[in-house]
Amino acid sequence: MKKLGFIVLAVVLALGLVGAAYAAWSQNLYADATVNTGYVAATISSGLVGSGPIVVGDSLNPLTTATYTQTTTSLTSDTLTVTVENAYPGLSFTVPFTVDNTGTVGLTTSFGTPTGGGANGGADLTDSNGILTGTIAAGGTGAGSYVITVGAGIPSNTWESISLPIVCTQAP
Amino acid sequence: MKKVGFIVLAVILALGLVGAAYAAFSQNLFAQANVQTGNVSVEWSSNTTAVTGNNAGVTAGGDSLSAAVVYGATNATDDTATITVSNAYPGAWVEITPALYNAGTIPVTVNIAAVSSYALYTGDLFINGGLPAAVNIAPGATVSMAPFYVEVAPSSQANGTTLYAQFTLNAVSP
Repeated sequence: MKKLGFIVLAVVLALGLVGAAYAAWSQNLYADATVNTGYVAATISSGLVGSGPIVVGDSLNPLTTATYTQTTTSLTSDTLTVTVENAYPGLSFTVPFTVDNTGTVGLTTSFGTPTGGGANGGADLTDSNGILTGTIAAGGTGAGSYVITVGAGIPSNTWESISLPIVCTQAP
Repeated sequence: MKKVGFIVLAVILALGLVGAAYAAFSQNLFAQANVQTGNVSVEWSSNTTAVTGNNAGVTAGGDSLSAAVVYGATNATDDTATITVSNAYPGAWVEITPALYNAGTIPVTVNIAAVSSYALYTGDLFINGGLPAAVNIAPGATVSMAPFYVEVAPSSQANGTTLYAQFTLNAVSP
């Protein structure tokens, strides 16, 4: 029996040695994931910026003009401003614009709710929902337009403003 | 039942997490329109004429029939041209050709919108041939309307009387 006990002890020790050998050969590997997000950035402009006053009435109406300016370029308030002088009730004209996707992801666009329009609201100034369809790829340009209409209720010799938001959202 | 409720709650929470994951980047652009309205301002032009005459067959010995145009104040509400005909008589007429200057910044359409005259009502005066059509006037331009005729009725007994007629012209934006 003593001999049998010795053999069992020897086997246990041997197995222990084998286990230590396997432990020595282990290794850890790592996968580091770094995600840089893209960004949405867009600017609005028009080919008419810098063209000076442009007649928007008819030939009888040379003093009714529109001047296009791009007032600010930033992530929160990039604005295409159209300044119209000598407008009158019933005047309606189309404002062409372009949206440049200066970000790194594709964009879809939609139109928000206009604000402003004068003291008499829709009776002073209105604008149609604009036209700007499709997705604008990163680095690409989209062309759109919207229509400003001067309402019957607008007073003479006054200033009125209306602002149309264009919401640019990361394309899915 | 408690287990089912727990599963539903877990699903709702999971869907909420999925929704958060789909939040997209966005940016607003603005198309701003600043509109200044123009103004309507029409004045009488000195090209306005008033020419007198009489119908064929009317005899007016020593005829001193005449007409003169006097322009009143020029303002937005009460700009008046007064045409005075002197020594009129039955069958005499005055041919009035209104000429108007657009001193505003937008085009206007001008027409004779109203006529007020007791003499027209009594028949001492009448408009021979109707009133002129409306005219369009561009800013800075002067346009004459077609002439119209105001005549003393052949049957008028308004001897030594002032006969009065007022024509209201209305200028409107397009």
